[in-house]
Amino acid sequence: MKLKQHQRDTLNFYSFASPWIIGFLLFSVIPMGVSLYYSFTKISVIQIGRKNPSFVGFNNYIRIFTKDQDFVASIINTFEFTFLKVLFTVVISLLVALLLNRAMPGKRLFRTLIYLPSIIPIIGAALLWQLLLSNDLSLINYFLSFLHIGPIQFLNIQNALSSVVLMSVWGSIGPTMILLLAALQGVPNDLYEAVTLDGGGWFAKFKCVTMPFISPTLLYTTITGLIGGLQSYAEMKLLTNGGPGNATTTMSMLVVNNAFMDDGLGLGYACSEAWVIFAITLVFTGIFFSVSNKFVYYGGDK
Amino acid sequence: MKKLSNSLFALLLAFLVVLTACSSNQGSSSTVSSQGGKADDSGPVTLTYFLWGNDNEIQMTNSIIAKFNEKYPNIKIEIERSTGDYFQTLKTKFAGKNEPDIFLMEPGEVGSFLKDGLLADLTDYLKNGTALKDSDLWPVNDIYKYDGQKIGSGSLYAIIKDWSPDYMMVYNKKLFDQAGIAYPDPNTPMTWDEFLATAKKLTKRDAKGNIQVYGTDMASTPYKHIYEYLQMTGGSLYTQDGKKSNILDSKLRPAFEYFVNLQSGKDAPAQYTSGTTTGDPGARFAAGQVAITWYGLWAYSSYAWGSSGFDIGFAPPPVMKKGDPKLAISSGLVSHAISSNCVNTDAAWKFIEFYMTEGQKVLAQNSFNIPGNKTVANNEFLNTGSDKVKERNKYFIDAATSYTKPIPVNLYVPQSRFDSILSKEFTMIFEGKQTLDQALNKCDSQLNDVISQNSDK
Repeated sequence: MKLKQHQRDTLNFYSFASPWIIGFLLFSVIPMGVSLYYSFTKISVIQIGRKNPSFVGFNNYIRIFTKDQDFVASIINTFEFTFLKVLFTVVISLLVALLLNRAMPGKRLFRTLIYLPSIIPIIGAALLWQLLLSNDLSLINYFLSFLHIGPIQFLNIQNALSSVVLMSVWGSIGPTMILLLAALQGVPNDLYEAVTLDGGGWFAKFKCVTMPFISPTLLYTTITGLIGGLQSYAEMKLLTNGGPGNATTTMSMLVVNNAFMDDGLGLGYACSEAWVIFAITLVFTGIFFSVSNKFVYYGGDK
Repeated sequence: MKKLSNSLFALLLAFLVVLTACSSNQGSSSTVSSQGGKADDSGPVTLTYFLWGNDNEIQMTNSIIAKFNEKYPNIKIEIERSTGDYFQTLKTKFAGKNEPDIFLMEPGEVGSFLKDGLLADLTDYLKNGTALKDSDLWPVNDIYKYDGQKIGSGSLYAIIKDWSPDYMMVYNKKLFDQAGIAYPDPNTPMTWDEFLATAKKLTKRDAKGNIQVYGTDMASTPYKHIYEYLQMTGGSLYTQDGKKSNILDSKLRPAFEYFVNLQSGKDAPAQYTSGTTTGDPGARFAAGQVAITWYGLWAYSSYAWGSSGFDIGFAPPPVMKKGDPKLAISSGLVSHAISSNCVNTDAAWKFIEFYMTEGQKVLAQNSFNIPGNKTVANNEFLNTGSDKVKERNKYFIDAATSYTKPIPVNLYVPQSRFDSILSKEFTMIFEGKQTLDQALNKCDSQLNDVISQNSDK
């Protein structure tokens, strides 16, 4: 059998891509299909494979939008968290990257120190922050007491979400900073010289040279931060377990909690919640992409 | 080039074959073992046993298994210890058809397992058994009986391994001495008001007003206490058939007020429990940071209170009014159950039977908790150890038999859901965001919603 060149190319493509394709089918497409099916049914975790799910039509979805106040609260929490986290992460990382991009003594040491928090596993980080912030043995409050400040309730209903943001930003500055630093080092020096010759100061350099060159990286870090923030689970689960009340319960957390409850809501309801979250994330990212295209510079191409 | 693509294609095919082979392999191996188990009863059998527990408890279990294997060398027990949320893991195992043969159960979780028929019926095994008899079991085992409609009667699906009234008053005598307060009477309960006043007196603050010693601590199971207070009022949380919430009944209100007063307000003797309190409450008590705490007998050995450096006293839980009868509840009631899919139920029963007879003697020697075997409890358990240990064991057995009730179970409201609703709404009270009335109204509508979700077929 003799294959034509393009047939061979096609075959090669699929052979090389097959590990990914198989993985994608097995671990993403099929589970998503199953979860879409479950989202229209009433079933609990332990009933899977033992009982036929009873079909309830759009009841789960209707319940989400009419009755479930927890879900609304969790959406607000998630967006608040995501907005604050992305904002602070990107701005602080950019400032740090700009600082570290200059010739200065001890640059490598600072780079390492700032990157360090992100290599600590989230469990360790959460335990550490619990010691720093918890209501009954906060180390921060202990040190503040010498300055006659406090005690501050870092994890009460008003401050809990901000505390989670603080911990999360602390852990994600490192990688973002490295990406931005790499982008900054790719900015051609001659353009800065051109600005200087034209009489521009540091702000003109930043606005007309630096920003356009790093804008794709900024977009990338923002989008990944956004998606990560909307899916956030571990930080809150470990630091506050969603509390106090449901002040730090995120959308994903609510899905997991509902999935393992044995009441009538159970897994089917959790699946429909997951699909609503998916839709929200999709719409939100789409809007973000279309808006951001106006601000991002792709080397002259439109 | 052609050769390369051909070999890649072959590789891809091989990969797919391996994948399918894997899955079919698993299927066939399980059928082989099930046939093996049925064909020859004395053949080697491996049972999986899923449990939770601290190092102490696991060590006791291991020594029971070692003794079991002396008698039944052909039955191998593989224990798997839960490291995270036990019931979440157990349910995931069931969903994946990978459930353990023997596992631990709790009253608050058993409802859905019974409704879906996932537990093996143990009634006949108990009836035909030789070593373990029905008369060895405590009456509280009724909480694991189910007749297809309601819990409390019918066939038996799990057997309590050990138990205790779980919220007995446990106090630090040294802190009472320092505050110059008389010890609580071990037989006559205090009233709620008396307790609140005592606990406030025991709360110690430093010069800046920060609390050094808390009068009491509800942190180990913050919302389970409510079940006890509610029963003391004489009211009921649900209507008779369990299909409607009765939480707004004025009869129940003093219980909620007491619960809030313990943890809310400037001079509250306990800090309210959010998800953000660090440290284990049992260890906090052992460290002398809490004057009065609420535990069952098991906590004494689990937290090594014996080496805490102060004397510990016990008293019945405070009641609503002077003269009310004593009441305590048992919420743990941890039991052994066998999966209804287990292929070696006979072997699994042999293990439970051994655990409930010879194994109970190991528990009794360690004075761990009141043994689930009544006969062992009344003999070995009461006659082991120093006088102090014997006295303590007797005190707990008396409390258990004369005034302890099991935690009430509603088939339509899982305890985890009840706890999560209450914790959400009561936290808002403790944080000063809503009043008790608002919280109770919200709880009422949410409980009714859960019931309606759960009771319609």
